[in-house]
Amino acid sequence: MSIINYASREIQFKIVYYGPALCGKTTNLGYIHQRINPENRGDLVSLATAADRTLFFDFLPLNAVVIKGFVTKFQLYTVPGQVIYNATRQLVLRSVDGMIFVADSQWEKMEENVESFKNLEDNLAKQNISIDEIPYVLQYNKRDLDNIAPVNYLEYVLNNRKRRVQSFEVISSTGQNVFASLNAVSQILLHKFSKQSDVPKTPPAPVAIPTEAPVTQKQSAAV
Amino acid sequence: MTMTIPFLNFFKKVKSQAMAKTGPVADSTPVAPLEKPSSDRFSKTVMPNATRTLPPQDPFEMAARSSALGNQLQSPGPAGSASSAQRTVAFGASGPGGARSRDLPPAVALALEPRVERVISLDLADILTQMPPDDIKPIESIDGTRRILLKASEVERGMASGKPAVSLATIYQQVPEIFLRSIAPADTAQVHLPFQKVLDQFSSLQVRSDQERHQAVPQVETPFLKVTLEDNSTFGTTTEAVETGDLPPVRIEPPTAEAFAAAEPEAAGSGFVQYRAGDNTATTPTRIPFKLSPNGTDGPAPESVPASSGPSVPINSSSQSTPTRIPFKMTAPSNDLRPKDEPWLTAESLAPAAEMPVASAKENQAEIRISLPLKLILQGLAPFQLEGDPDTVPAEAQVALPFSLIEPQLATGRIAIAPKEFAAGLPAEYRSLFKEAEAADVMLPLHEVLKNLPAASLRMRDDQEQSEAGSNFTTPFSAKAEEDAKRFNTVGAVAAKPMVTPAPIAVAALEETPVVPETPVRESFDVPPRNPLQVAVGTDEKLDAKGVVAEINKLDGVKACAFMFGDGLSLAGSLPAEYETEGLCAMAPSLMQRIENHMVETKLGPLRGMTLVCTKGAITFFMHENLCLAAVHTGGDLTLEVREKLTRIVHELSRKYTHHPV
Repeated sequence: MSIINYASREIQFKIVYYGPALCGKTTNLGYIHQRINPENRGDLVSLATAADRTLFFDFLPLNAVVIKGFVTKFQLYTVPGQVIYNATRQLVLRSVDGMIFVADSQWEKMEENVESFKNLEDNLAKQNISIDEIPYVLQYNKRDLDNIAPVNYLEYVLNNRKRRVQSFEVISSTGQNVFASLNAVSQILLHKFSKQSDVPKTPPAPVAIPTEAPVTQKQSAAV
Repeated sequence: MTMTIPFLNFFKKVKSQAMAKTGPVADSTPVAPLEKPSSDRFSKTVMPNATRTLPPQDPFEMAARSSALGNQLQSPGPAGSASSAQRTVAFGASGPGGARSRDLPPAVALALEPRVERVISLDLADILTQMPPDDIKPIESIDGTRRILLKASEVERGMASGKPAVSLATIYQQVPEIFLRSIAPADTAQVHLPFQKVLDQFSSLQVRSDQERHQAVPQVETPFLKVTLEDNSTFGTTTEAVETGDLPPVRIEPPTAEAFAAAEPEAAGSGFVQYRAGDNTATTPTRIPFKLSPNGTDGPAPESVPASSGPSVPINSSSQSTPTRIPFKMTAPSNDLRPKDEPWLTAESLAPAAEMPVASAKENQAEIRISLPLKLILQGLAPFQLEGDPDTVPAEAQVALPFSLIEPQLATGRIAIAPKEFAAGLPAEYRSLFKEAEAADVMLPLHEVLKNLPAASLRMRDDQEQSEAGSNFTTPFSAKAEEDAKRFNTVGAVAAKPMVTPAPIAVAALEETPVVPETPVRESFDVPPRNPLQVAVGTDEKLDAKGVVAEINKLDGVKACAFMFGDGLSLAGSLPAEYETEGLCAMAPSLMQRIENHMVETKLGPLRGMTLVCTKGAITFFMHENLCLAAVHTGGDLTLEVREKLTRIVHELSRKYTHHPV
């Protein structure tokens, strides 16, 4: 869920890049970090194994625009794609606001894509969230490779739910459509937020904390 | 054979309830859409996908059934429905299925969601020529227009190499009548499929025709949009309109500690590598090795890991059975606890350490016993562990247990005692209540243990160092604290250091002070005593894993080295890239563990190392506990002295990185 800071007039959205191992989630974040204006981004934090595989998550904070008097900030996370790191994925998915599912377009990765998507549904369900309630887009990554499945088939495999979501043909190594997919999710979130009427204009009243301990009768007599 | 599906009754019950809510499907009476939300009314106009409410059917079974009836199978739709992929724009809920899934908890809705098998279909004639002629009837006698269904997951594997194939058994399952002999399901014979036709089939698959698509919304100008437009001009792509619709509103939480904790995964602190803001040159983050068990929770990884995307490193199976326990020691380590097989730890090398006060802590611990209320413990036991009614035990009855069994578990927050130990501590009159033969541990209530901790057990460690009392700076907080102390009359209660205001340097006073000749500082203060690792490496420098790698690389005969953990994760160091030894290094610890198991059967003594002599070089592995060292040789073999030294180093370094259950 989004975190709203009345004091600094900020709202934070959490976007998670999800997908099978080695599909290019971290490459997405690397490209975003490289391309976005340094004024609008923080440091890219990465925890990885020696073999350059994401171990815990990658994290990149980004600033966006002011809506309703709030500076909107986006926190981008990736999950480790390897099957065994499911507990970590569940942790990273906590309170997610939007998602980008990165699918590997290669034929031999099709089964892993399906497994990963099912895993995403399962992990969200464990948090009592349906994937239909979360804004997400699909990225068909590695479109520059030779042994890739046609987009029709990827759509059939991954975008065959009742609600059709936007999908992008992406080459994350060059950056093609990396921002298009991020833009799509962020726009949906901003749109949702701007439509929302339950955002209080004023912060909740601060709780009064007494600065001095009440002086008891006995103490005042002693003084 | 019947299959037992857990919670099937539950799902059936929930499903029937959900169906009852949405109304009977087969009800023929017209229902006036009155008093319904507009979203529901819209969804009713969308063509309901009735088949999605049915359980999935095995396509092969269907094919076989149709074959038996002599019907010609039709393509599952995609080929014929290519043009029917109209995208329906809807603004409401997603039809009956959607309504149902919104009513149900997500986990239940997900479980009820039918799993659609991905299949393609081909004419039998397309594959007849590829089938072994000895196994099938003459081609002329077979109806080549029959279609067979193929599981996409089976065919996809071969698509990558341009040679899609399917097993002969799969074909036999659907059209057994064309075969001259029966094919066992385990038969591994493969039949190649025509690549182009398979590709056409995959390409023609279309998404469901009743899909909803949300409306396009105007975009807000953001930094992402700006870069997106720039990228579009660079790559020659176009930006699609952003679509959104009836999604739940953004859930907003105020910035409380709980909200942050819920939103952010707990990152381990020290292992972060950061991109510095403004550093545009680096495109990928610099990675550092980081030791964490595979599932991120320091627990054992699940056993069922699909082979298709298994772990990058082998998992140390031997360490999976024992839970990781945090050592909780209050006493100074005694000599008895030190491993005995360390000849390099001479009296001289450890002389300063030997002077440490060594209390007979272990003996004392054995004497200390903790008394706990027996009734509470018995009430907490599982029924199979009990012989009688625990309520018959009086509330004042106690069980006395050795504190040494409990102390190491205190930090874990979960205290369990072996049945035998528990039975030994039971008063004789209540022993009959407890079944000692049961293997399950006896759980002790933590709050009772903490309430009854023996006073003697809580003492500070003997080797604690006393910091010098320094001068406190006067700050607004210290002044306030002083005031509070006076107000609450707690000056004596707080063992605070004396509050001093930094005095101005009195030059005159210094001049009056007689100059005391500077006494030479003892050498022992200049050079702190070496720790065992420094002894093993032979240096006074402070050592970490990287420092040790640097020292090892200086040794004669060692070209490069790397440390890795038992599960294959790298700790420090690297081997020459041209040898490509990453996989070997990841496997080496498990190999050595296996070999070590077999060494027990021999009279050669414990395994000290494993050398692989190859045509282009040699590499030696040393392992102790959970740590393994791989050292690539410069030329011939390592000398005995170097080998011994490396063994010691691994031994000592492993202590730092291995958690011993205490």
